[in-house]
Amino acid sequence: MAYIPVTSHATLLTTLRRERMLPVPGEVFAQPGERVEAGDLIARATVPDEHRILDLVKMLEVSKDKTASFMVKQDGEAVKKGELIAVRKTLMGIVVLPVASPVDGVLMASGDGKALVAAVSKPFELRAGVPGNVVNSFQGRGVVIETTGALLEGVWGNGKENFSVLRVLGNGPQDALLAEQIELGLRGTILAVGVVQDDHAFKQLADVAVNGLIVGSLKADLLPAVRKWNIPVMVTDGFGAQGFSTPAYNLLVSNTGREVWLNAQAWNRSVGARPEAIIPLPSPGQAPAAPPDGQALEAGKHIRVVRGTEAGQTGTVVALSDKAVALPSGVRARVATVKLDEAEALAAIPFANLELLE
Amino acid sequence: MADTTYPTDTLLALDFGTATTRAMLFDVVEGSYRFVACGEAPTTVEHPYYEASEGMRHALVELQNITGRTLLDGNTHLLVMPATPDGVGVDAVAVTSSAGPAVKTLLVGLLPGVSVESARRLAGSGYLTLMDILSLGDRRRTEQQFDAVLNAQPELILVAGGTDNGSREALVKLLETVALACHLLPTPTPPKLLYAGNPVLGDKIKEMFGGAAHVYTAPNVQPELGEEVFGPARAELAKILEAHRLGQIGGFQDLAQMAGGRIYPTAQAEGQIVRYLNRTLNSPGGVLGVNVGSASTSVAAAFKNELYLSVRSDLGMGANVAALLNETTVEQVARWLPFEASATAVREFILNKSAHPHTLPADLNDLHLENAIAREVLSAGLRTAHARWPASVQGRRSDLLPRIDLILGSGAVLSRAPRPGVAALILLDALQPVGVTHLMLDPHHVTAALGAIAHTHPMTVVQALDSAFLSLGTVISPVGEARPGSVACRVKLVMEGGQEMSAEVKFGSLQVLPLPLGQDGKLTLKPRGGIDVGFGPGRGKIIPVTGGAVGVVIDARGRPIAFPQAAGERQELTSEWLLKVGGLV
Repeated sequence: MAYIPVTSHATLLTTLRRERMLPVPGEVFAQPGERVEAGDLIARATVPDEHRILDLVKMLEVSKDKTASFMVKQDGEAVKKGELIAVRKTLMGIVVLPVASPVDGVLMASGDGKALVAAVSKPFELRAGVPGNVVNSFQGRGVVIETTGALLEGVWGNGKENFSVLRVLGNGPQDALLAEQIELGLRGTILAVGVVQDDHAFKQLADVAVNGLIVGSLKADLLPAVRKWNIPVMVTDGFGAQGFSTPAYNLLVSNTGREVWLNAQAWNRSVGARPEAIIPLPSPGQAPAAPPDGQALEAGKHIRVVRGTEAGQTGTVVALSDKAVALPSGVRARVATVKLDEAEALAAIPFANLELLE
Repeated sequence: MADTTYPTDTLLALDFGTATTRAMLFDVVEGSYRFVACGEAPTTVEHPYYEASEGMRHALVELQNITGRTLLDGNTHLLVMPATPDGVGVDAVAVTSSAGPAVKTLLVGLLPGVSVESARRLAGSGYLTLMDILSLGDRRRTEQQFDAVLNAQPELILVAGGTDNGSREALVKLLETVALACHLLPTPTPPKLLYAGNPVLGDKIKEMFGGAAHVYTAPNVQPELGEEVFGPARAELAKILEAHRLGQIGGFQDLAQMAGGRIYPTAQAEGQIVRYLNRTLNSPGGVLGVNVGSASTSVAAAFKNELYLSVRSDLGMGANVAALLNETTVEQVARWLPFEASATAVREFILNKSAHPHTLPADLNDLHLENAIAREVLSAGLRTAHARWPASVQGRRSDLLPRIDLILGSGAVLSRAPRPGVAALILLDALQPVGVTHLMLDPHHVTAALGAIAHTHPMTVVQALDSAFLSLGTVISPVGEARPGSVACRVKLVMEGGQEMSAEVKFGSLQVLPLPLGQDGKLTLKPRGGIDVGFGPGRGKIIPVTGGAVGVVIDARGRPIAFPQAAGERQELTSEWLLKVGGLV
């Protein structure tokens, strides 16, 4: 029986397609076939900050069915604060009953004796995020951008995104961020470091205004502060002090100095959206293959251990057990015999504690 | 020559969990339905498959390997149905599911604590995420309520309010705001709206929403003040959620066709069995069924044949386990550990489990940590459920369970426990029953399957129950105040063969009297004055008991269980409890 574990990617060169969608319908500028850069505006929408409901019956002093005849603005029309939406003049124009917009925005709808005004301080602008070619578009909603480059997926993200130059700190995958490493030259970079444990160093990092953080493992106590941080933070391996897996670290080191799109979106397992870093790279000639996903665990597969004493280590599957065996915990499960990259001896790891690493 | 023909009364139950898909086979053995075996595989309803049948096929292949029976067609790899005369395939299929993201839900009611509470109880019976609540008690301006609906982007709106022939205008006014917002929702499909309030408003609400929501109606959940009737509305809600899942999860349409058109929500199906057990036992106490799943935790309680179902879709042992950090402190988790662990280490363990939800405990400390978390997850699930039970069944103290005659535990954390005693102790620690309770375990995850089968093959359920569950034993939980170390209760167990065993159970301790699985005995209970073993303070009794995998447990640890302040003493104590129930690996 096949076992299908989660696949995590630390892929040096691959072809990727990413949807860039507006939160509400709007106007899409980018067209299929077009080349876009990370900062290019590709779509715009009116996303209201709030709504105001105006009681036209009360303000115009007429019945519900008569309000429409006093409207001076049409549904969908932009309005300025104080601008008339409707007006009723009586007694030969001596008495004026005006209905003015309480906010800058759009008259969304009117009817049934009411008017709905959306307050819009500024339009929502969608940038490409990652350079590439537009290969598909959804009318009024967004586009699909195709790019080639390196892909590193994470397990946790704080919901922000940014595009900037990658810089790796430390000399190894398990190196921790130290306060003395933080200097002004890091300003504006997306920083990668194996471990962040030191509260003081973390605070200094915030002060120096980096544009993003990719961390192998993070001290759990820092999570509330990281959630509030206005720059993207992606955790690639987990919480604690284990740091980067070797393939993740090697990928980052080999791309230091290059631009990276860090999209620290939350991991949505239903749709497969994961926090990720994409480093755009040219691919002369034939486009590289898309990253494999959903493959079965089998001998020869490269894996990462995600739980237990070997957590964070990578290796290669040698064999799979047919039947469940008792683990040291007493729990019975099928195990894979794994040759870990950093160890001589073979290890027996339950299938459930392995991820395929591509 | 051996007879190689098979009976054709073969039933297959499929359960799609968030993490695991299970295929369970029931067949007639010696004239009676029995649970035969269960095959399982990772669920494939999410990325990258988006197709339930892939995981189902792997689970069926495992089931074939276990049973030696052919279920899939060798060429098409499709399930053979009905079974062929030579025993290939199955005759009937029942399907349950808790897979898929929780449905984003908006509650609308009139009065907080009255119809809002009714709507909340109704919502608690499904796999829903509560996004917002609108009511007359809402102090937000109409515009703010409007924005709240837009921000919530509900997939489902549950409306309760007004007794039969009661108030109308206030609810209509609230719903006007909701309807206006629904017209502007940016979601591709309109939300579904279930109205279970004053029935005279049903048509008006349909008219008000037009195409902005699919409106369904159910009988009023509160036809009169102080009277709640949930059964019909809960059934309607289950149908709406089923329809939602059919359109959402790849492969479910085909599966529903095989299963007579229905895919039952797992918690609902489990609730059916809990209510059935309550009816069958016909005793004054209730029956409690708990399921600690990967994405959700459900508590089904039945008292006097009335079912109270509570699903926490935001709290489980997998990706949703991080929500536990909002429910309790890491110190509360750590108190169950037989070793020292820092608050940071426990917090990191929880977050890592959330990041890697399908993983298993590799070593003993890992197992203890996972089980400590399970206790607190289950306890949080019970708190939610207990608060929703009506006052008539809540028990005499808000911090105590009412009398529960039977507890049925489900969920992977319990079923894969390396010893039955480990599962029993998790249930006792998390639920802390009082008086006399029987503990049962669902080791093969068949509770929901039986609940689904019950709709079409009720006899199967009656006959298969014995083969499906594992009896853990009878638990006596004395309640009252006494000095730790003083005798709380004297007990004497007389077994069928006449062997006797006596013990003085000290307050603060846990004792196990070995009574083998299935063997009957008589237990004499003599509590000290002020201590209640279920028959009133200081009152003893001789009760019949039947042995289980753990034995007869006298849990005199107090309610709530008291812990020593000193870490070392606490760890020693938790180790001792594990030792007593035979839970040490």
